[in-house]
Amino acid sequence: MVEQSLRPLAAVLVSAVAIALIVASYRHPNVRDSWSVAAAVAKFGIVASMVPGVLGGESYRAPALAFAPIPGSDVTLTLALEADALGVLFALLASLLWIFTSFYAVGYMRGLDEHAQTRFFASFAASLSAAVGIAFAANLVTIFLFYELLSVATYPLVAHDEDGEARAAGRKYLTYTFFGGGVLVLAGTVLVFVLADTTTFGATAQALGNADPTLAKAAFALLAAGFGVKAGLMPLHSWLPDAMVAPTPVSGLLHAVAVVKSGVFGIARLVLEVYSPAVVADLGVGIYLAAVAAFTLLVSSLIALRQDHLKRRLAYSTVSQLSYIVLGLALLGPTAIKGGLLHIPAHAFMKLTLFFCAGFIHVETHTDYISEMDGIGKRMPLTMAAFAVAAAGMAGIPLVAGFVSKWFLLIGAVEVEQTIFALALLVSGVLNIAYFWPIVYGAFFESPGEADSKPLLEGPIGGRFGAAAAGTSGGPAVATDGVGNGADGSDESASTSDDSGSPSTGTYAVDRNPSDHLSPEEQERRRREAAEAAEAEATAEDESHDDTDHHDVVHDDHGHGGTTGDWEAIGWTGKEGSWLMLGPILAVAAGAVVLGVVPYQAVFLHLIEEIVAGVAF
Amino acid sequence: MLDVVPPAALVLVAALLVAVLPRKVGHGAGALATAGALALSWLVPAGAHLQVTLFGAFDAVLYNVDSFSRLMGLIFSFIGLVAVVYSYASDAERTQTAYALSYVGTSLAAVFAGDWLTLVFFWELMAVTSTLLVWHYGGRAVRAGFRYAVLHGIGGSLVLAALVWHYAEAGTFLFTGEGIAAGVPAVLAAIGIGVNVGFVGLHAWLPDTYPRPHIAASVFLCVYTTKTGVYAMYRAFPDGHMAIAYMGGAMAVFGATMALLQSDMRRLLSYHIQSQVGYMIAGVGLGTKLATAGAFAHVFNHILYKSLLFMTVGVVIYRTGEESLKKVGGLARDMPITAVTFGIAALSIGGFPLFNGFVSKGMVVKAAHKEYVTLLGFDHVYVLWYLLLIGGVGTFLSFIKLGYHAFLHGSYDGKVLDANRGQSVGLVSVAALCVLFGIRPPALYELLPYSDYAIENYHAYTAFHVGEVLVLVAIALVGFAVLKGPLKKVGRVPDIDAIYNPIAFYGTRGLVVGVTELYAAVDRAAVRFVGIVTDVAADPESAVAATPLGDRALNDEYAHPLRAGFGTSILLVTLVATLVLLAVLLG
Repeated sequence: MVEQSLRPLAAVLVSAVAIALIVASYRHPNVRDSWSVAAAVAKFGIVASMVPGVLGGESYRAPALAFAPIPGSDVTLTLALEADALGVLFALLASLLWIFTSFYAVGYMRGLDEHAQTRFFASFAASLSAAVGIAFAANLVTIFLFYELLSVATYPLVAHDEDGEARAAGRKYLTYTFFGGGVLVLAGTVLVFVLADTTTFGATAQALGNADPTLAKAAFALLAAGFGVKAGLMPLHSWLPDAMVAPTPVSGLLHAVAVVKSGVFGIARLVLEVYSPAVVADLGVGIYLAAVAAFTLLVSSLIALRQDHLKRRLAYSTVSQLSYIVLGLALLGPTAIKGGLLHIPAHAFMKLTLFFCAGFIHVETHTDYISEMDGIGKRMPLTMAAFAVAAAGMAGIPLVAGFVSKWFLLIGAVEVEQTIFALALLVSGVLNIAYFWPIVYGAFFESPGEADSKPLLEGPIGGRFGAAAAGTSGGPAVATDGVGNGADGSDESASTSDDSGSPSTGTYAVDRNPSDHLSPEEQERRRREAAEAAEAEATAEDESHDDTDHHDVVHDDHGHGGTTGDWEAIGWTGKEGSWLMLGPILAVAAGAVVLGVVPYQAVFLHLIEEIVAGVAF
Repeated sequence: MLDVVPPAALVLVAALLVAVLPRKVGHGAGALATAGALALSWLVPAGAHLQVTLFGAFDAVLYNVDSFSRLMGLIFSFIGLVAVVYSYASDAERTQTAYALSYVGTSLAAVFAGDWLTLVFFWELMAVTSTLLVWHYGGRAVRAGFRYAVLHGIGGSLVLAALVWHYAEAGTFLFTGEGIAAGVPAVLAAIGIGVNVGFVGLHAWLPDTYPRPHIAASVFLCVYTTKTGVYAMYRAFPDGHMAIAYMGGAMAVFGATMALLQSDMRRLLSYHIQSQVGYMIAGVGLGTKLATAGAFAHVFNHILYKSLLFMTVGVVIYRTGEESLKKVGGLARDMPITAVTFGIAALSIGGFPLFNGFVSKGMVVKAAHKEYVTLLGFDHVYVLWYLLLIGGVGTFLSFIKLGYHAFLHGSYDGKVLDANRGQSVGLVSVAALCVLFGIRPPALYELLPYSDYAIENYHAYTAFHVGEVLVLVAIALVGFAVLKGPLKKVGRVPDIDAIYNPIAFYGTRGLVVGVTELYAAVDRAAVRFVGIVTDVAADPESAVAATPLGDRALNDEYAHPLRAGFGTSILLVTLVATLVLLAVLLG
C-alpha cells in the first residue's frame, strides 16, 4: 500500500526553506531563532502525521526525479523519497529531538555569546534537512546524495570555532565522512546496481542472493564500511572524539543523534532492505559485522575509562553504544533486530541528555574536565540528577530506556545461539557503570579537595582513603551523636592541611571559573575577599595548630564572603541557569524514562514491531 | 480494592514525600506508609493481581501474593517501620531516609513480583537505591559504595544472562514452580544470586560496605538485599540443589569464623549476616518442606534479631562515637536497655532455647540431619549438619566476644546515655518479638509457607534439640575462655577482596593503558604514513634522491625525469584506465 504524497518531500524541504528565512532575519535574533523552532515543529508535525498510516502498513511516496546520465543507454538514476516505517522511525526521532535542541542551542549560543550564530542555525537547519532526506531515501543513490549533503552541511558546525583545533577537526571529519564514507558508499551502490539493475530498497535482495557470492559480499563490505564510518565502527571512528570541539548542541544532536544515527540507519537499510537478513545469513557476512561491532563495543568502553574531558568520554561512549545497534542488526534474529532498532531512540534520548548536561555545565561554570567536577551537584542539582538518570540508563538500569533495548539484544543474542555477544553486552554494561558513575558520585557526594582523583584509574587504588586500610577496625572515630558527613579523623587532616587548594591560587575549577551569573565586578570583589581571607588564615595557622580548622576545606561561605574552594549551593528550584537549557535537559531525560517504561505506547517500539514484521528472515 | 495497591507503591510514594517534607512530618509519612504496607501484606488475598504485558512482548505479573511473598512482605514492612522510627531518633537526614525508603519499596516490589522480568527489574533498582543510601554518608563510604555498585552490577549481569537463557528454553518469564532451566542458566542464576546472598568468595562486599554509612542506614542495609536474594534463590530452585546447600554450610562456618576475628562491631555483624544467610541457603538448597519452611522462618527471625543487633550496636556508636570493640567497654551499667536488648538478640542469633532463633535454626538443622555422604571411607558422615553446628558454635563465640567486650568487661571513659526514646521503642518492640516467637513457635508457623506441615510435624522443644544447643553453648563458653587472650591480639584480617581488588584495579589499568597507547601508536603510524605518501606525491624527486641509488638516477643525463607534462599525464592515465577496463571485461 503505497500512497502518493508530498509529505516526505515537504518534511525534507521545510527546514531547507527555513535556511532562507533564518539568513534573511540575521539582524533580528529572536525572529531568526523562532524560525528554527517553527521549522522543527513543522517538520515533526509532518512526520508525525505519517505515523498512523505507517503503523497500518502503508508507506508514502513523493514524486521521484529520474534522469539518464549516460546518453544512449537506458541506465536511469532515480532520486526518490518514500516514507516507510523504518524511515519514519529515524525522521520522527530526529525531528522531535530537534525541537528541544533548538531551544537548547539558543540558550547555549547566547549564554556563551557565540559568533556567527546565523551561520550556525542555518547550517543546523540544512543538516536536519539532509538527515530527514537520508531517512526517507527510497534507494541507494538518494541516500548517498543526502549522506554527502549531511557531511557538507555539518562541516560549518564542526569547525564553528574557527581556531586551529576546530579546523583540524573539521578536516578530519570531512576526510573520513566525505571521502572515506562517501566513496565507499558510492562504490557499493555502483556494485549493487551492476548486480541487481536497481538500487531501490526492497527490490535488490533476490538479485543479490542469486549473484556471484564474492561480488555480493564485496558490495556488502563496501556499503557496511561506508555507512560504518558515520556509525563509528572501529577503526573508522576517530573523527568522532575530535569532532567534540564543536559547540555542544552540535555534539548533541548531530553527533549523538543525526549524523551517527544516519550511519547506523544506513546499515539498517543495508541489512534489512538491500540484502534482507536471509541473504545476509546465506552469504555469511553477518558474523563479521557482529564481530567488528562487539570489538568496538568493548574497546571504546575501555578507552572511555581514561578520558578526563567530559565530552570526549561521552564521545567514546557514543562509539560504544552505536555498536549495540549494529550488533543487534548483524545478529539477524528478529528479537536482536528489534533490540538494535530500539536502541536508536533509546540511546538518542539518553546521550542527548548527557551532552546537554555537559554543555550546560560548560556555559554556567566553564568546567570541562571530570576531575574538576567534584561537588558540582551542589551548584547544578537538577542537571546532575538528569545526568545520573541518563547514566543509569546507559548502564542498563531499569526504568530508563537503555534497559529495554539491552534486554531485547540479550534475548536476541541467545535466540540465534551466539551467546558470546550477550556476554560482550553485559561486560560493556559493567564498564558503563565504571566510567559514568564516578562522575555522579563525585558530583553529589564529594567536594573539591575531598574527592578521589579522576579518572579513577589514574589515581591510587582505593582512592583518597586507599593508603589507609580498607577495613575500619581501628579506623578514624565517628562524630558522636550520629550525624556525620564522613567527617575525617585527625589522621586525614594532616594531608589536607598542606593542600594547595587555597582560594586565591584557584586550584579548584569553581574558583577559576566563577559562574557567569556574577558580573565581573562581583567576581573581582569575591576574589579579593577570598585572597584576604586566605592570607589571614595562613598567618593564623602558623600560630595555632588547632585540629578543628583542618577538616573543613569547605568553610562556611558567610564568614568569608567569597569562593572558598566549594561550589555555591543552589537549591532544586531551577535557579542553576537559563531555563532555555534546563527545560530541554529535563524534557529529554523524562523522554528517556517514558521510553523505558512504556516503549510500545510511546510509538517507537510499535514502529519497530511493524518494521520487523515486514522483513524476510 | 485491597488487591490493586501493591505495598511497594505506598512506600515508594512515601520515599518521595520524605525528601521534601519537614523532617518530622516526612518520617511520620514514612512510618505510616510502612505500617500500611504491613497491613496490606497481612490482609490482601492470595493470587496474581496485576497482570500486564511488559514492553509489548512479555507476559508479566507485577503483583503476586502467595505464602512466600506474603511472608517477605510482612517482615520487610515491619522492619521498615521500625527502621524509620530508629532513623528519626538517630538524627538521620531526610534525604537518607528517602533513599532508604526507596530501597525498601523496590525490595517489596521485587518480592511481590510474579515473574522473573519484574523481579530482575526491581532487583537492579534495589542495587541502585542501596548504593545511593551508602553514598549519601560521604567520606570512605563513597568509594566503598562504588565497589558495591560494580560488584552488584556484575552479579546483576549474571542474573540477566541466566534469565535470557532461561527464556530461550522455557519461552516465558512467569514463575512456573519449576525454577530456572537446568544447565547453564541454573549455574549463572546461582552465582548471580550468590553475589547478593554472600556466597563464600563473592561475599567481601558485605563487610566492606555495611559498616561504612550512618548507623540507621546500616539497619536498612542489613535486611533487604540478602533476604531478597534468599527469596530469589528459592524461586530459582524450588526443589533445592545439594551444591547450594553445602555452600550454605560453608557460608555458615566461614562467616562465623571471620566474624570472630573482627574488632569493628559493625564489621563483625556483617560477617554474621553471611553466616546466618548460610543457614537460609542451606534450607533452600535442601529443598524438603521442613527445610524450606525452616529457611523462611529463619529469614523472618533473622531480620528481627539482626536489625536489633545493628540497632543496639548503632546506639553504642551513637553515644560513644567509637566503632571498635577495642575502644569501648563496660557499657552495661550506663546503657541497660541497650545491653539487655543486645543480650536478647545475641541469644536469638545463637539459637538459644526460648528465643526465636532456636525454632528456625532448629528446623534447618533437623532437615540437614537427613543428608549424609560417604567421606574418606566413613559411611553416614553428616557433613552439612556438622557445618551448621560448627557455625552455631562460632556464632555463640563471636557474640560472647561482642557482648563481653562492649558491655561487660572494661570501662569506658566519659559519661554515656542510654538509647533515647525513639530508639528504645525500636529496640524493645523487636526484642519482644524475638522472645514471643521463641516461646510460642506456632505464632511463627502460621506465617510460614507449608504452615500446616510445620504445625503438625515439627516440635521445636525436644530434649534432643535443647540438649544440642546447650552443648554448643558450653563449647562456646569454654572456647571463649581459651581464645579471649589470643583474639585480642588479632589485627586486621584480610579477606578475599585483598586479592581481587588489586587484580581488578591494576589489571583494568593495564588493559586500558595498553589499549589507548596501542590506539595512539596506530594513529601516529597512520598519520605518518599518510604524510610520507603525500610528501612523495608532491615532490617525487627528493624522495628518489633520498634512496641509496637516487642521486645517480637523477643525475644521469639519460635518466627519465619523474615529471610529465599535462598531455603526457592524461595519456598515461587513459592507458592505465583502458588496460584495467579490458582486464575487468575480459576477466
